[in-house]
Amino acid sequence: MQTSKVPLKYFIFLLILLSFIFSCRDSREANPEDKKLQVIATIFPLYDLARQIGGDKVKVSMLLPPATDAHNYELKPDDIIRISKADLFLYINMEMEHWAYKIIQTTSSNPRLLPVETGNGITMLTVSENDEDEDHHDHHSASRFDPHIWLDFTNTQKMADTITAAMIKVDSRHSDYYLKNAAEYKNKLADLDNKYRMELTGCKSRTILHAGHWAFAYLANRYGLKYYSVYNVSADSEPEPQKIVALISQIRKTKAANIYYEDLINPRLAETIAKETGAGLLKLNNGHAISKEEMSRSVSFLSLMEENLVSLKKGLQCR
Amino acid sequence: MSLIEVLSFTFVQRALLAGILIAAIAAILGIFLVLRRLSLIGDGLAHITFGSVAVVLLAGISPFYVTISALPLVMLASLAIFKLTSSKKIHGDAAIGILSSAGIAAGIVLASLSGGYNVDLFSYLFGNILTVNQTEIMLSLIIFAAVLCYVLFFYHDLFAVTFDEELARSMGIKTKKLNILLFLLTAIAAVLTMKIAGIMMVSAMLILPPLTALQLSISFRKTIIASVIFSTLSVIFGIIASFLLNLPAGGTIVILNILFLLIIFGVKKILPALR
Amino acid sequence: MPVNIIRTENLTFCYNGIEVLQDISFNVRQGDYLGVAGPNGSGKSTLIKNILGILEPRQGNIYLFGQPLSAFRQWSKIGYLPQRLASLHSHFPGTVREIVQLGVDRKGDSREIKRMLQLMDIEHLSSRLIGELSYGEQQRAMLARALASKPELLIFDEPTTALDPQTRENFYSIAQELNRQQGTTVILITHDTGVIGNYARYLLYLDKKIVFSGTFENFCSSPEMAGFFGPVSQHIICHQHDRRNI
Repeated sequence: MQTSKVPLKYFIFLLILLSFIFSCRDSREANPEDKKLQVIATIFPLYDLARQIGGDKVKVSMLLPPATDAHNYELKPDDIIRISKADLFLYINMEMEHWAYKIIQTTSSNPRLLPVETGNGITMLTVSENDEDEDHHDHHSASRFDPHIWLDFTNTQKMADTITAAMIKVDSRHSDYYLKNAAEYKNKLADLDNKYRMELTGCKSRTILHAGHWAFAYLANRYGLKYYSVYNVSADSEPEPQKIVALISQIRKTKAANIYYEDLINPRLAETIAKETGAGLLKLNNGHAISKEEMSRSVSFLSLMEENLVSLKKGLQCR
Repeated sequence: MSLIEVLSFTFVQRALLAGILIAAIAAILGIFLVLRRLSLIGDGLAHITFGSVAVVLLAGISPFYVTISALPLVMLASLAIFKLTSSKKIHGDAAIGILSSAGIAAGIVLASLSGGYNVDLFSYLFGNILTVNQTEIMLSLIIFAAVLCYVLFFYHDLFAVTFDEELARSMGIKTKKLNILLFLLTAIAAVLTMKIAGIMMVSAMLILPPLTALQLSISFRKTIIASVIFSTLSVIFGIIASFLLNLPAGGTIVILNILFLLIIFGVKKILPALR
Repeated sequence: MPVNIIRTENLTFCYNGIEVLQDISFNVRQGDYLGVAGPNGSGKSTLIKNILGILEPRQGNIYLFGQPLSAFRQWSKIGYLPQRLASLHSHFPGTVREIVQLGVDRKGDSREIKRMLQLMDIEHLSSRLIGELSYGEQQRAMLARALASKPELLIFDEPTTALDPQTRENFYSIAQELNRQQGTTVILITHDTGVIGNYARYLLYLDKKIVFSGTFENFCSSPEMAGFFGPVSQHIICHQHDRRNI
């Protein structure tokens, strides 16, 4: 029987050596960028807002990598370290980022970091059962809140204000700069809102049929559309079979020519429904599900919403 | 919603077809796996598939080819399980455990390296029988044919090996080749089932119908047939029930399997008492 | 001239680094009735397993029916009754009939199977699961399987340990009949040397290496054997029985 016994002390020595090597990485971070305001935003809409408002006075990074599911995100140890070194931590609210409280707790002793709940002061819609549904006699007792507030651009404007106020609080030197940028951006958002309102009148269909996760209620609400989704808010469970059937019935009833899918959920369900009904598939981006491809294309929130408008006009068959 | 209405949907028809094929594949292979104390191999292979898919996605392979690309890794892992089991130093269940944990851990680490849980990766864990497409039905048919040929052609040898491996060898049966083929077929079946019906279904369909059939204490040939019957019935009734009761299809199928097992078990206990 | 049914040359086998068989060279000719004896752990079963290709030797050559083991294909000529089955649990889904059917290759003649079942007096058990049978019944089923292919070589590995005397006698007389009437070569492994004395003409005494190989008569008249076993034991082995074979 041969067993090689590596002396324990060599092993311990190796461990200590390795830990030194790895800890050395941290100290080599002296960076001219450090002088800027360090902002970490959880998801894309906030990332983009912060970029636009902060301009070249801030360095914004997005906590969630592209193509990551925000609703079920798992914090990495590195994340907490990054955030605790930042000046601003932007998140929507506890409904969207359940895990945000962990960060706020861990970094509460850090005087430099200001966590910003950008959804503060914005009324959330509850996830309603789809109006046309006669199948549900009982309302689900736990009416979840829909956190996708940024898809109503009036909300987005309020979020811009909240972010601007936070930036000014920690960096009052540049408050004029921030205010100017914010005003410009809010105008763009208002223009977009108008454009949507105008171009979504006179459509053959007034229902958004969505084989993706429940996200567009705010948008539908704002422009007087009906919204129908097969999944729940976080798409963490299989859609109920009857919901699939209900969506199919809706499509057939309204003779809808197109249904919507989203990029980051497996499109199998959308494809299956499309095949069943002969409907076409159009993409809608909910603002936080960004693919790596889109990131490399340097999309912005506005550009994504413009793309959405094109999709909506086509799918709802607007003039 | 009526039964007729449910069955009128083409996606339900596809689900039934694919489901029956997968059920039959798993039921047949499962008999051999359960009798050789490899019950957890389905679960293990599913975990390894998770890791393999993570590797493949990290390598940047387009989602369309992911299944084909992940297959070799899973088949290799199944051979590794086979090798470990035959070496007699490690038992089958431990061998499965080792590779299974390696697979999941690799998947988690690689997913994190590639920037987070990719949706494609998740879809491998949670396939849905209701969204099966034409290509997957074709694949299921091919695998079904392969398994059927394997079992029919090698029936005598398979029975001997399952009964007593040493005895089989004394009869001149090439047990090593037979076993390797069994493991490879199981690996392919596992990947396919996982993609179509999700990770939970893989091990459930491989173990539960065979276990129920074994309760009947009948001949080997009839046991295999019974296993297939239980399996296909659970899929048919499971899918229908999931629509009528608005429950997830995969879970309903598995619960039905367990129900069958409990019923047969119960009947066996009560029957002698009635006499 | 009788053909060599089995021939080994310098067969050596190791298990976990320990030499269990050392340089075994012997042969069995057609029509022989060979008894293989030796103490526990002497490698008797291991030797047979090497010869049948169940285990792989470290070195040495093995020939079956004149062919090297690696090229041998006519397995239906061999009927093997193992000492015990590796792990048979009582619910193994195999009926007695299916097990006996294993003995015949792909094409099974149901009349032959029936004859085997009757011969071993287990026809009434043919639909029962093999795992539900008593040990004696199981052994009878396994013998039926071994005989089903009408083998030219029959190998019994400790067939009668824990068997009732009736079944034991039955087994031995069947082997005896086959050897006498049909010239079937029989190899009987047992630690019970007295039994060997009753039936076998040849003896292979094993204790990791060959202690003795030759006719039973020579064994009994060999002074070395007397020296090895002690005269009392040798006497018991050679004289205790009433020798029923020729």
